[in-house]
Amino acid sequence: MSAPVGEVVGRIAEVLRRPVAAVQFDTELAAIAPDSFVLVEMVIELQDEFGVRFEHDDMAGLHTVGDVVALVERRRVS
Amino acid sequence: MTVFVDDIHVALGDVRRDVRTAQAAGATLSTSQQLTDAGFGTHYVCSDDMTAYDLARLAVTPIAARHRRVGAIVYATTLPGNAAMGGADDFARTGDVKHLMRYPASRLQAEFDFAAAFVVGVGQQACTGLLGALRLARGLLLAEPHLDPILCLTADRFPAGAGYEQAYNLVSDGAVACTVTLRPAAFELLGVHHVTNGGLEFASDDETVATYFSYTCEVITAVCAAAGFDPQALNWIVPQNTHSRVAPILARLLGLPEDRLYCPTVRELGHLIAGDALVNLADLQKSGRLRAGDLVAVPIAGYGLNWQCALLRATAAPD
Repeated sequence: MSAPVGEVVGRIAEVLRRPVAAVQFDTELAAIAPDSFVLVEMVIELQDEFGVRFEHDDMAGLHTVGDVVALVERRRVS
Repeated sequence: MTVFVDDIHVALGDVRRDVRTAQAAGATLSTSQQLTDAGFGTHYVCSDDMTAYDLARLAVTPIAARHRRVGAIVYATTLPGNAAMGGADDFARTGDVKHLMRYPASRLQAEFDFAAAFVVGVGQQACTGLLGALRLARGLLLAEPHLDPILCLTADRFPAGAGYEQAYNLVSDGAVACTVTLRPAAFELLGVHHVTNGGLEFASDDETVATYFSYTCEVITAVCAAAGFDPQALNWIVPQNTHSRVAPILARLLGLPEDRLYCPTVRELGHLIAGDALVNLADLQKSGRLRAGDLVAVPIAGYGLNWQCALLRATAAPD
């Protein structure tokens, strides 16, 4: 079952301490995360929140919020 | 047969400077304030005349005073240039490649009169090279016990003009040496696990950070499993010196309290290339906090990308 997109985006915004309006699908993660450690923390939160487990190299391919949402959905169904 | 690690000694670059001085020298990408916030305070660099071999000699001197004989020397370098001792000018003049094969391990063997020792170079494992050396030494001793003890070391200095920040870490030049032995000593070496992902050869700093955690958890879990333990049984995790954000994240992923991570030399040394985890291990040994039977994981990540983790068990042996 896939996670509601809005929930994933909302959680990303919460972890990154950004208004939801500033977190769009095409938003570059580098533009809203102060550093890569915050991104790692965000991924851990998403894994725990949505019961998914990312693979080793998944994070290296994350560039936009949409990439993160798609990855969560992909891992939810795999 | 049981293999032990003993005699950990360190040598540092001869110039100590604080983060402000490092930034003023153009040696960092981050500001001094960012480095301070990340837990770094000072680092050590070699003056122009100090070589990686000089560092190696300094780290090995106290070991040579204790051991008249070693059966092998396993000499790890992170930067390929530190695995040779000059000769480029002679090669350019003559075209003779033998000038490019002046090996520091051979020089060390001769200088300390370790006549019975053969030498092995460990390269291409970046900052994980010393753990690679420990793994080789352990395997050698299990196969050929007469080699006991084996000298392992890592020695690197950055070339002139190099930046001293890698993947958000302030770096120091230095060397660390130790022995791997069959004689009961402070730490039993239960095993070493190593993962390489060559597809990440050109990883950016952010990709290096992004992949650090999952691979580090994997090597910790694997080395524990091979020895019949669960990572939850670890009393200590003694990592390389990194950005202060790393420890809490790693502890959370492993499900361990953060105070089981032990890296007290971050502020003074920064990231001592391949040696800082063993410096932290020696510090833990001296701290009085270690108890006989404690399980200690020593994970290190390096370019390549490589991740290794050694699993050790503290013994009741005297220091």
